[in-house]
Amino acid sequence: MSDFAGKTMVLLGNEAIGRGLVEAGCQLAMSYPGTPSSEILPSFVRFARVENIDVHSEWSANEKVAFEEALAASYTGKRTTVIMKQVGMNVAADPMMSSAYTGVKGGFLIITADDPGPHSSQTEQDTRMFALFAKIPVLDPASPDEARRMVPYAYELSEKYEIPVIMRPSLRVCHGRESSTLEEPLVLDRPANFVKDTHRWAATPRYRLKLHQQLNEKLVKITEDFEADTTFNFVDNADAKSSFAIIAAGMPYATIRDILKEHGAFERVPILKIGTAYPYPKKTIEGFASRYDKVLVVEEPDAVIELQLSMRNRVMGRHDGTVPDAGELTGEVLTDVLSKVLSDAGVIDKPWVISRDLRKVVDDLEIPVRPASLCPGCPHRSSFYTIRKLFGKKGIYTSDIGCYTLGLNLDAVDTCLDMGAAISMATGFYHAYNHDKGDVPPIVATIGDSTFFHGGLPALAGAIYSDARYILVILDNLVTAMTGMQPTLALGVQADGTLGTVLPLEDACKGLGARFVRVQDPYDQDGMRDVLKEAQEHCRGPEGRVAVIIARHACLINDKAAAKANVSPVTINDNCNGCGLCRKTFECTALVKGDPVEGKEGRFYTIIDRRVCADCGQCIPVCNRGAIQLLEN
Amino acid sequence: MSSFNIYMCGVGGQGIGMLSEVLSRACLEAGHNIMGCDTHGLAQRGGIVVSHLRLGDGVRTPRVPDGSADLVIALERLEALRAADAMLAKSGTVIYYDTIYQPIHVRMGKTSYPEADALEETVKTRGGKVERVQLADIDDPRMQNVALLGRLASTGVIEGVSARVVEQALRDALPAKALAANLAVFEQAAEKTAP
Repeated sequence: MSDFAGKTMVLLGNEAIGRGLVEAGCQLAMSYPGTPSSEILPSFVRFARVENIDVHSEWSANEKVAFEEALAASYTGKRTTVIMKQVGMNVAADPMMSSAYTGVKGGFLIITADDPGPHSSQTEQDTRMFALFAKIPVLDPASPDEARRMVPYAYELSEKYEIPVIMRPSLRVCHGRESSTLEEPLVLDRPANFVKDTHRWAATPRYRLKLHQQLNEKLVKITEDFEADTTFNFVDNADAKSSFAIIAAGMPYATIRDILKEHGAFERVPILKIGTAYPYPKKTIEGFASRYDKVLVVEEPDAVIELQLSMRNRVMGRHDGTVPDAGELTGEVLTDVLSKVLSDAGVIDKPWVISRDLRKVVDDLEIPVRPASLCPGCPHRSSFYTIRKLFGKKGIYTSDIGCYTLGLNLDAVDTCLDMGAAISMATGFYHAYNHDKGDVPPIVATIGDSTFFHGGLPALAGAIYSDARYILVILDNLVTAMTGMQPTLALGVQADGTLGTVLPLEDACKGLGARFVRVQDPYDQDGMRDVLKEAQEHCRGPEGRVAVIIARHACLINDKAAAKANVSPVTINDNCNGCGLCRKTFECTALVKGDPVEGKEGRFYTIIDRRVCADCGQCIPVCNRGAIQLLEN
Repeated sequence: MSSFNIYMCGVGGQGIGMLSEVLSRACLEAGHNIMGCDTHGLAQRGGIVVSHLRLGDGVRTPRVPDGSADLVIALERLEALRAADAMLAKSGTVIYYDTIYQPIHVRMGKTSYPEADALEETVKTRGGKVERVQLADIDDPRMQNVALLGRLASTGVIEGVSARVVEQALRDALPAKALAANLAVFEQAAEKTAP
């Protein structure tokens, strides 16, 4: 018996999903970390451990790799999952599209976290749209606990029809907290048993047509299942006398309920809540819609149910401009939408008086924004500072996805597109300039250690092969820092803490044909400058290729010992003339504006904010006047 | 539907996560049904970190809507102002720790840090109350969150969340070696306002 079954706990949505995986008998879980999905795999590992269930878990090289690993394991009959954020699905799209055709054996759940807003992503793409495109069923939870309860259902559906199933929680579900009453874990005794079937697992195009037809047949049956479902698809206030109704899905469903209740209008509005956007439960949705003159569809981040609705003249939503077509559907946004729509439809007498109209009463209040900044003592700051100082404005600085995107603040990041693009875009910039046969400006690509393994390896292979010449700096802080300190492949530590095999970055780069590969501690700024100069000479020399510098220094947040290893507390001496150069070029939250300089308007002395200072001493060389010095005891 | 909305905010690294964790436990212990959500990811690096906590039986949405926070708990003065301006409900309460972390454009000299009375003014226009917390002798700025909890508990603004309940939540949530120092700060902050 489990100590946890029957217990009520307040869980983060991602923790609830991890628990759901244990309750559904998931045996193998693969993931690549990415906000807002990162806490799901650790939660699965933790709940499996406390329940004494033996599972395999893995932070994979990237989402495509994770997908294929988990899919193959499902071919053996085991229950498996692949977990990622929504842009990770772009990376995994290739195997995903194909897996819809091959189908699966053991239950295979694809968990993809969407980010309406976006809060920490490049796009606001809707995973349900991907489901439609790939012809894979998709479940859309409206709360953390519903997400947990959907997991076992998803596995049953997946095994019943031998089809992958997607569950896509959105950010507010992933990072929402709600109480859940936990259920018994499911322990499956299923040894791996891969039954060969080449017409399916290695299907040629002729058999692919057949598989496509089979997929369509499965979808017809799943549609019927979804139309019969009353757990995740249900109607609130079915008896309300109204010519107007709402169809809602995901977190917007919960938001709409709260708004209507707050304004005392809930009982007056019939609401169809849909947890299965695809395959489209037509009888459920259109049967409901046919009873009303107007139906407002509210879903995010895109219009997936609305797109499938055939009764176009009754539908209000994103397509007719009733609902904004970008950004998160927050309570504020939906209050405005509902106030207008409900008053137009005569459900309420007049638009609501909205309390936030009180906002901005102090008109002249200019509240400074507070963008994120690299942590004090961050080794990336030292790398960016040295790179920018050496190559200046004329350098082209491609970068990538990670904490180090914040090199923006030091003017050392010019591009940020997607995982691995720092390297391939540097190659593209090189060939574009080299095409003119003239001078190629200095090009420096910066990419993190984890991102390098994720998307950088094939990009570096392409750069070496095509004779591109530029500097590649791998910012190696020995961890995947931004998403919450997951281990990288270079460390050889697996998701459950057990040891795997160490994959040194330098070996990978040499193996791909780089001739110039150096490891350099960026805290040694002189050494970093010298190796950058050498690297640039290598690029320009007759035997030049991409020159790789591995800027290795542990993340101080992750590695407390590293934080204590370089203690060099600093102070500002009387040489400071308030020029502000240190604050502008080194951009550290510990270098702050102090008192104004008398007689020099707009000038302020710099002071050290000792509360946040990491005592790294990296800002000492920044001041030309020697005003930043070691603190004497 | 009656709900009580709490909005917590501060600067990455100040300990909003712990504040939110302890307060959630205390509210649960006091018998409230809770929902909430936090900031994760890149914003934690020196940016604004927020945590939403909503109490009430019918509540389904974890995020506190703009202009509807009955209680704002801020770990920094500028963030208290931002929250008072955008989040505070009419007649709401702001409890803040009076300390300053300069944002990037202030550090770079492109803009100024707001004047000290901007917060009081903003809260006054909403008919709300401000509680300023500052303890002279906190060695570790990471314990300022516990000072706020101490003040909060002594004001009794959240139904059922007494000093005893918060103290128990602290005992449950904190590692043993950090407990004594934190409890001392908690008691000191609570005493300063005890009637």
